[in-house]
Amino acid sequence: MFAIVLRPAEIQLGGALIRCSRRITSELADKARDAARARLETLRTCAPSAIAGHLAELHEMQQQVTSVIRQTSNIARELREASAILSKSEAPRGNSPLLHACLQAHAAYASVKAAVPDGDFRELDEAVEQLNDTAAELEKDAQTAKGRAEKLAGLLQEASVIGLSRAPVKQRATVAAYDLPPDLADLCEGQPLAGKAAAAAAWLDDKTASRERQKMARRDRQRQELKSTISEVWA
Amino acid sequence: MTASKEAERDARYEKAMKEIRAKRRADPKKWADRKLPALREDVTAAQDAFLYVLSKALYKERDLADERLDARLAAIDGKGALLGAGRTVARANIDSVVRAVEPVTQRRAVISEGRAPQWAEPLFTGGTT
Repeated sequence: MFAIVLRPAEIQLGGALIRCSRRITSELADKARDAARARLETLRTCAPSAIAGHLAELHEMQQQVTSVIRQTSNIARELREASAILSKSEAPRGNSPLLHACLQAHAAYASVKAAVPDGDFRELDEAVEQLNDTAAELEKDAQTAKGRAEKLAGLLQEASVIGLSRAPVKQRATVAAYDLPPDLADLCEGQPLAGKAAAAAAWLDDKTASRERQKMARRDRQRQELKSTISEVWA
Repeated sequence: MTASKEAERDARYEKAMKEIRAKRRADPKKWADRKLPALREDVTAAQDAFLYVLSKALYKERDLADERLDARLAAIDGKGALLGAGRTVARANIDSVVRAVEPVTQRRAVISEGRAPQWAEPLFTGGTT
């Protein structure tokens, strides 16, 4: 047959193959972030022996999210290449059935256009437009997902700290291998495991205290704003 | 029927016809709207004439068909054939590309194979992203 039959773009997520759609990546990143937040609470209260398992699952999830973002970006790039073949006659760098189909279509259109320069090739322009629009949507989605993945990485660092402060001695080495927040990582540099655990606990206390302070400051600020509004109204 | 009998019958027939013609001449008014029985030669001649005309028409028809076919074949030259094939290939491939991209433009999250990780499941059980 002269037309290449194409499968819709798909993404590997863990053991599943999912059909790529225009919001899936950012939504997956969002769900991962929610799951990580819930897991932080679990880490604070779970049995210390389960900590390494929870952390491993969290990091697996992060890897899956990173992989999905990479795959979506690749699909977007492929669509851009496909559109460049059709509209600008650019040679593709990649090698996929979609690009092959575009090359074939481009070659056929080139010969038809040579014979009928003023022919109606609306479908070609429409296809190029659709490829560009879809690529733009996917790029935007991947960008949103990247922002969420960064937040997820922050949550995972906090999870590592919680894990390090609570993990039983046997699991400390495993837990300490995960990424820690940069300021804590500096403190822990060269310290023995027990020292790292103590530093993690202190960092957490500090963090809780600073969050409390931020909350108080915000409340004060709001109260002040309210007061000034009231005084303006009564003035 | 032998030749002599045929001649005899034709003679009888001629005789009868002569009588009829004579009667007709005698009283044309009476015979005006009556049809004369056809002569054998007349019938044969008419049949021959009909077949001749028919064969002429058929020959003409065939010539016309040949002529038209030649004209059509002349119209479908190399350029036309190339154009048609090129257009078909181009169209088929473009359609294939558009069909493959179409699901990506939707918001729906669909699992093609396997099972999503537990943390991602709400996305797929909800139906839409």
